[in-house]
Amino acid sequence: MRLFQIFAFLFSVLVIKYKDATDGIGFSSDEQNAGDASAKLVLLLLCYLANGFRRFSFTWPQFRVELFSTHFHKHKDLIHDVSFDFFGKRMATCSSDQSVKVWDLNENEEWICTSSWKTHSASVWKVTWAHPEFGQVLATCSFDRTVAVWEESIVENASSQLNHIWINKTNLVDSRTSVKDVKFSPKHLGLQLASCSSNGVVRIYEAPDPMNLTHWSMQHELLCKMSCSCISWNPSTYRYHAPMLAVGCDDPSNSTGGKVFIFEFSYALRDWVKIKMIMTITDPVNNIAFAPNMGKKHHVLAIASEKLYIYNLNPRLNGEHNQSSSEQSDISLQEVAHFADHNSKITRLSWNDFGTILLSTGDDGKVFLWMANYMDIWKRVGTIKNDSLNPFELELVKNVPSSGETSGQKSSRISFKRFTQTRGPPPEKPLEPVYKGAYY
Amino acid sequence: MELINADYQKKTTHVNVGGAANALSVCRDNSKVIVAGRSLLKIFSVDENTGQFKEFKNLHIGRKQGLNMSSADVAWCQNDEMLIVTAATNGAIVAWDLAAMNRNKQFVVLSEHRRTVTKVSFHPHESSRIISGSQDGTMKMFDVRKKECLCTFDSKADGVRCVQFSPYNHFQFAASFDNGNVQIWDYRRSNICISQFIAHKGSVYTLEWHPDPEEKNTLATGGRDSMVKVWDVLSSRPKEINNVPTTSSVASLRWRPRRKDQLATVSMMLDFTINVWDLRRKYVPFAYFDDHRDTTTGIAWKNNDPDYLFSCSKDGTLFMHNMKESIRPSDNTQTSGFDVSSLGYLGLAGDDKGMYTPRAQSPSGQSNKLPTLFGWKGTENDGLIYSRPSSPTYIGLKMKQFLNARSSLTIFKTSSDNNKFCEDLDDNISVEDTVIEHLKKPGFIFMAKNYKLTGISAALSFKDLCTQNSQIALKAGSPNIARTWLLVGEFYCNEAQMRTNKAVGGVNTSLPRTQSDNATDKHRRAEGDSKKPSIMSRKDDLHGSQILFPVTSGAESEIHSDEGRVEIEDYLTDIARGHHSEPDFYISDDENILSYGYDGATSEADFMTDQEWNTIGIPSEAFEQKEVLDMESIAKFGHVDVPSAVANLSAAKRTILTPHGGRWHETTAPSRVEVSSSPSPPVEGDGMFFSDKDLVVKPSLWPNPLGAIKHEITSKQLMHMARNNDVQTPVSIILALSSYISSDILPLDECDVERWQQSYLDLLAKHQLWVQHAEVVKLSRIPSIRGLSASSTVHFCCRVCQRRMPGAKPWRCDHWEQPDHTNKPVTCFLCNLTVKGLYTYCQACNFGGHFRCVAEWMKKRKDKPGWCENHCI
Repeated sequence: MRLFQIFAFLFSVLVIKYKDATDGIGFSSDEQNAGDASAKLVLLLLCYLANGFRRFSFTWPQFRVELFSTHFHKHKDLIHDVSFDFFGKRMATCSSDQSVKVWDLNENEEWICTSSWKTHSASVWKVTWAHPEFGQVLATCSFDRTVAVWEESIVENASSQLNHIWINKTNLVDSRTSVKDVKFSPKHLGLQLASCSSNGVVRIYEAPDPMNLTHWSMQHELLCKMSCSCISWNPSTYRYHAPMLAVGCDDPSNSTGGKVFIFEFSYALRDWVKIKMIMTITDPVNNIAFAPNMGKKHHVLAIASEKLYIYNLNPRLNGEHNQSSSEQSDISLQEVAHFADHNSKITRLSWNDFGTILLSTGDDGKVFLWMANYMDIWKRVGTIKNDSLNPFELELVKNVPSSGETSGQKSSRISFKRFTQTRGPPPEKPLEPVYKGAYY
Repeated sequence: MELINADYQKKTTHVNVGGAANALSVCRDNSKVIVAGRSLLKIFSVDENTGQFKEFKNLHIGRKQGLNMSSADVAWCQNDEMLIVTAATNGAIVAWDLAAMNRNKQFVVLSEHRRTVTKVSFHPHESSRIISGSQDGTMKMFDVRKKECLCTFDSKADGVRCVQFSPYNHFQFAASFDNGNVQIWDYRRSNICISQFIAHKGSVYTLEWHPDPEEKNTLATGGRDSMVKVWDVLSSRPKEINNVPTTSSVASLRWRPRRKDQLATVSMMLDFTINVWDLRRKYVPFAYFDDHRDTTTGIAWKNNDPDYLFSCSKDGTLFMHNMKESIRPSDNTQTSGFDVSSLGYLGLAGDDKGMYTPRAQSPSGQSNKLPTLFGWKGTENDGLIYSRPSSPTYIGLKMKQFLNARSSLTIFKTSSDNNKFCEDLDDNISVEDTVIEHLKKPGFIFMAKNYKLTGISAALSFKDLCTQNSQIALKAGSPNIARTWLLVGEFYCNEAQMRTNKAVGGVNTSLPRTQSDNATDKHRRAEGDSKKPSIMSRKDDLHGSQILFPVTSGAESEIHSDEGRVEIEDYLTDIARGHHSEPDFYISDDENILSYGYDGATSEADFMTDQEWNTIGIPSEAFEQKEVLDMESIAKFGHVDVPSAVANLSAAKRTILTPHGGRWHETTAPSRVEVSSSPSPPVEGDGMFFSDKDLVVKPSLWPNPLGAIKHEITSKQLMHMARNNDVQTPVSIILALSSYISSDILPLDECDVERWQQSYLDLLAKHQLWVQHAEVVKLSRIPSIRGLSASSTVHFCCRVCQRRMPGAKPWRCDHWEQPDHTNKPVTCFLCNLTVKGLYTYCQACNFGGHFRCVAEWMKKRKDKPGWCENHCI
């Protein structure tokens, strides 16, 4: 028996070693239960061998092992963007390995990679979903100076399996330099696409016929005169809000002035007009995001630079003032907050659906959650850290006056479950796209 | 690693060569560069210290130039300083001897090729042996000194694009062709090649042997398919050992000296940059130069120096690039992606550098060495090293960082076990609940699913509806919303009550109603009412009391007779039913509402005691209490006739004006005296209805000022909520109100309401709550929202004229009176009855009928392939 325990111990060490070596096996065991676990370990080894390198998970009290094949769906290079679709059930990732992968959430709340294909001939910087009203459509932009539009079609192959195939609908090749960002317009503006490239040109394309994704015409070309890095549409559906775009530039020198431009569509001129430049931000801007402005009359713009900035944009509404045709609508800017809590530059921003929580991530790998209280004072309400032993627990900031009561302690009810990229192979039958065509 | 000499820091330099250049070649000691072009053949010397170019010699001299001078390629002999060979576009190969005494250095022209010579190359050891490739599909080996063609190799393939002697296998050379082939030859055997393989799709524009003796069998090729491929050509069946997918077609490539895994490429067209690739990380260029303004045609590394790269371009410039001034795309890329899903997932893709550093300690507690698989790991000395960016260690680290860059994708899931429902209105919401609610929205979904937006079909009073919804909001963990529902329910219970009564009593149908139905019902009822007996019996289900009230019929009973919506009897009934309790509610809660409305305080429920909330919050109790009040008020007001009620008001007024904010409870129910100790500050509405004028009014007009106030307060509250990004509550309240009362009473901008509804619909769609989505669309009074439901994709068309059928009567076309229509009623072919629903027909001949009949018909005629009489199918 003792011998057996020794064997088990050696084996567990071996497994741990092997885990470190392959990054493929998650392993956790209670030290005291090593003896108990020994039999299971043998069983496990058998299962592992029997299963080959396919993933299986194995749960026992105080003992949880997950095995899955490594490098199965991994991107081969850096991932540059992650994007969820309208419903939050599909995710697209793009990488320097020139490919885009689409991940679908299955019934067991696992993310399964359903398709992966080469999209460009260089690093893919951004990927973005169109509103599902227009179908399952993705747009990607790349270092190879193009923007590509993709549409999914599901075909049945010989063995009656459903394959997700993404068809290249068009390549927009107007840019002379790397295209850094691409975004579909909000639904009420139709099927429009804004892209910005690193020589400072913002291009707005439109598909006149939403049923025909192969035909896009360039509507406008806006000049920023600086290397653009990010773009954001104003999602407001308010009747009196003209379409608006914010563009961030990542020119490294501070002397070139403001790095954020705000464009507004003027119905009188039928063109986009630069209405504002945020002069105070002179550091390169990495990301920019308008908040969904549910019922607000002003816009909230978050800017990720060396610091995190939050601006309120108070438009003077066309309807109220009945301005003369040539005069562009005025907008007043108000900086409501800026934070340097990330001790590095901030790379990404995202808003929740309500536009109430701003999530930011920086080069430090942390995710911060920001919320405004009733006085419109923004505070950090939480941090998601990666910790080796308690991975990804949400830690809440103490003394948050956001909703009356403060509760500082770590909540047991918020546990952020961690999935890794290395999920197993897709199930036998791929997911049915239940949402296809469900909208309207 | 070479030593870095601070004095020997040459910057990128350039010179204008005076014409479009096609090719360049560097002499052995790097002191001179020759540039060749269409009408250009110049030698530039390079200053050893400054790196400045200087024109050394122009070989392009004299009068008669001819096509011999138009060079496609140039090669400088590495063993003989004085020997240069150019390949001319007319098929001639010209050799130049710099040691020649006269001005014309050209000493031999070898016109053996019939078409353009694309490439010429010296043997690495035999200084006079050259090989050339031509578009005519042959390679020829010459001895320049002997001025003769030694051998001709017929490729039996397409035009030759590139040819080069192997630097270490003395007799071998490789050639690439327009058809995508690469051949390896031994020049001793001129009839057949050693091996041949298809390397690329399309032309193989360039190839180069690896300069490192350890890699003597390694060959890199680049082609039109924008790939760079690295081959091991030792065996007769060469195998691809690596590839680099580049951005555009590869026109030329050069291995970087002393860097085993790096090579530089230029593109054929469009792309003017020079990319330096690392085979170990092949998707991102290690570095690039973008100095040229036109296609870069030729590149060459400085011999044995990995830091300098010469390049010439069609824009007429010759550059010497310093690798230290190259652009490293990996430095500027965003290494993280991040997004939030509507389902509460957070996707985070991060650089492994940051992600895995803390994982140096393995879960078992052993802090073993970090395996390289986890990527580059920062050490303690990082800060120190970073401070000296020119140190070799720094460069090494940067290189490591570049090579090991890897992302990990992590998906966070907001935990789903958040089913905490608030027990009562004073429950506080913790931060984590708020965060979860805002990220995953369990409460939002719960409320959206369970709210009743209209209660008319269920004969539910407005107040009941609000109470129910308030309970739902409470369950979902939103006491604020629950309170708002209760308040709205209190505000509008009279008017809404009336409508319910009418709906139940007047028209005894339980059909679900739309707004238009209600409107028409109203008119009908208004007509009916005026004809009815003058005493109406109002059954108040909830209050359980029957109030008989005399109503005079006729036009005078209607104040706002135009729409029949507000009738005087309603007001009178209110008074009679004792809705004096309403003013007290308003007044006592006015501060509450306003403060609530303005600073949005979420937990400041303390201005209302529990006792009070109990009376409101718990429905059964509330109604009982209400009942008592009602009875009291009836007792109080019931005796007095209406005009004399004015007199009584003076007493009421006094109590209202107490510093505590005034409560009617104090007079009507002294047992429930409010215990609020601190006098509340005066509120905005004060002047409006605390003044004598407003209160001492004619009884028939009494509710009006309160009505104005409540609209104002309600709309303010709704706008406040919408401003705080909660569109669900305003939209639900508006819909609920408008299903009872006409919505135009709330002073809200229609555009605002439209936007709220749009946003709410969007949110519902995000969570795929299609039923709720449809309900909102149906109940909405905004034309643009209602229009959403009209955009159906199923249309009925007239069988005869193919025009769309009217929505009301989908079996009869608008033009049915026209002669062609009347002759042909839409009848079923089988039963000959008019088809009023689904008309199934043959698309070819319009022959068809009821779906059921057709199905029957099909069943009968199973043996025959088509069912159409005319055999269309």
